[in-house]
Amino acid sequence: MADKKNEAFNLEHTLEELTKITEQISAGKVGLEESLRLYEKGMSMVNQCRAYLDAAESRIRVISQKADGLEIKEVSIGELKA
Amino acid sequence: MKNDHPLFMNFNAAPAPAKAHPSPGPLAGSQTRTPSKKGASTDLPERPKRPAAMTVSEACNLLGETIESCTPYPVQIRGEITNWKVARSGHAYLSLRDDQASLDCVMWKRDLEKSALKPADGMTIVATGQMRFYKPRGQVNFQVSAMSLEGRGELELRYRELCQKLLAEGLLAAERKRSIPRFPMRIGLITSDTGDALFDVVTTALRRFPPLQIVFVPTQVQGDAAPADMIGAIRLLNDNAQSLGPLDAILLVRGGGSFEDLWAFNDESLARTIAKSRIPIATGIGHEPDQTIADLVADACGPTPTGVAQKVVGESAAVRDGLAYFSQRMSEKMYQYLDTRNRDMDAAETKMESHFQRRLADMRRLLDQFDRRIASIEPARLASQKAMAVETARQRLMDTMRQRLQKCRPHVDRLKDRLQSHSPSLRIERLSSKFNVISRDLTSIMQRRVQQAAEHCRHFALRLDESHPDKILQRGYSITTLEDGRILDSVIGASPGLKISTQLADGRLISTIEAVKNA
Repeated sequence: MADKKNEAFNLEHTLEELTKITEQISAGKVGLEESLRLYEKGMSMVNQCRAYLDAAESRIRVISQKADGLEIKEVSIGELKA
Repeated sequence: MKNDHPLFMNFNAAPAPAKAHPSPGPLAGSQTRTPSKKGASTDLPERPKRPAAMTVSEACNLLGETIESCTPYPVQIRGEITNWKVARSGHAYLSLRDDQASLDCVMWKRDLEKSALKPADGMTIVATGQMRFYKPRGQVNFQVSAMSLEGRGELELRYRELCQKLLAEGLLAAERKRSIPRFPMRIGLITSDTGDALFDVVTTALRRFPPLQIVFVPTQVQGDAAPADMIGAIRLLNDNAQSLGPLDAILLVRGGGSFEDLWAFNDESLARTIAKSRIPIATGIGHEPDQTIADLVADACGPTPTGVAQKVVGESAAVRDGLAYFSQRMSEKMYQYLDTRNRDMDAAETKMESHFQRRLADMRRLLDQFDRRIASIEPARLASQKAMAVETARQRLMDTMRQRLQKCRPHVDRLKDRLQSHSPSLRIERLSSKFNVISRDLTSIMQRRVQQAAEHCRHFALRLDESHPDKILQRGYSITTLEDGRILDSVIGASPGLKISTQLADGRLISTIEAVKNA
């Protein structure tokens, strides 16, 4: 399930990290070795984000509390209009 | 009605039928005074020549008694408050009006203090009290003993009171509003499953962020049951984070409606539930700029359901732009650094070399001096010894320096390689050569198979050839046929006297059967 894979991936956090890494590299205060390590980490994060946007599909679930627990139903956007 | 009032007596005294005193206008509810016609049994005094005019006090008394006795008590009047003023005495003065008329009123301090309502201009109220006539001024006014708000006014009051209450508790403070991620991945949605708000919100959200996941809880959004329904939905989403996955925000929305239609969103329990929700809540209620209590307590709100969806759901296009910017900037910087480092290394190398060249030159000069000095003492041997030592030292020095330079270089090259490894050209080369290998293999495999097939053909051609009847005949076999051409391959069809033809490899024999013998 694409959901399980993305559970560990948080877009907001990753973008914040990327902002920091880009700033660090731009500032030029870290050594070359460290810059290269940050660069590799940063590019890997960019690829992660792109993969998430390209692969993740939207999902609409309708839930309600029933006597025996939580009822979850997957629906398509067309079904909502009805 | 006091018929022995001096005023009445004057009128009654007139022999000519007096014009009846005009009835006191619309306030007359109960019976009006009727002139006593009992004059039949009474001797009326002569009507004076000129009726005496009554005094102002008398007139006012008349008016006062008329008014106060003609109007029902208590009476209720509905109107809008204007010119509200509380005097220093503590008594309140106001006017009640509608679109055609206005009535001055007074409310005594003791009644005002008892009133739960805090009156103000513009309020539409129902005032209970009685009509009064204030004699010192000769003015009619309405003495209000109690007030209450009408209909919508009642609701507006409750709204204001709840606002104040929650404000005092700090629930509306900006500081306590939680921030919502700019690009939420999964959101909850609470609204009615009829109406346009649902579809509008979902299409807007998915258009902006296609990978978005939505968890929808249908609820009532109007009526007495609505607040409890929505409270249940908020709790449901908060309590089931495990099975649903972490929610970045909840949208609580409702399409347009009147103040009364949206009343459910001013419910106190709902407001407190919104404040307590662990998941941030953003509301988009109605299409008016007025905000409900829910809008005020929520962590964010929009002017309409679609508006709040636009506010909360970030655009995936913006993410892609950001990613492009990051990767470009990082790559630029990295190449810049490598460039700088390389140039620095080159410069350092050059400097070192020239530095040591100079040192060596200096040393050589020094040694030359020694040479000459030694030459003057013990020319040959000493000179050559020293010269050799010097030469060795020089060599060692040069080698050491060269080694050190050599050591640095690979390091830089390695770093360059690491960067290069991200370039696609290596991958392309690798894949290209792989393709060539596969292509060559394929060609040779195909050639071999073609060869094999040709072999098989040849083999079968040979075997076929062997089986040709001519080859069999050449080996000595013959074919015997009867006169009608049928092949005789058994003694059964043969009988003596039959003419037969025998085919040999190189010709035919025509013969007659003499005898038939079984094998």
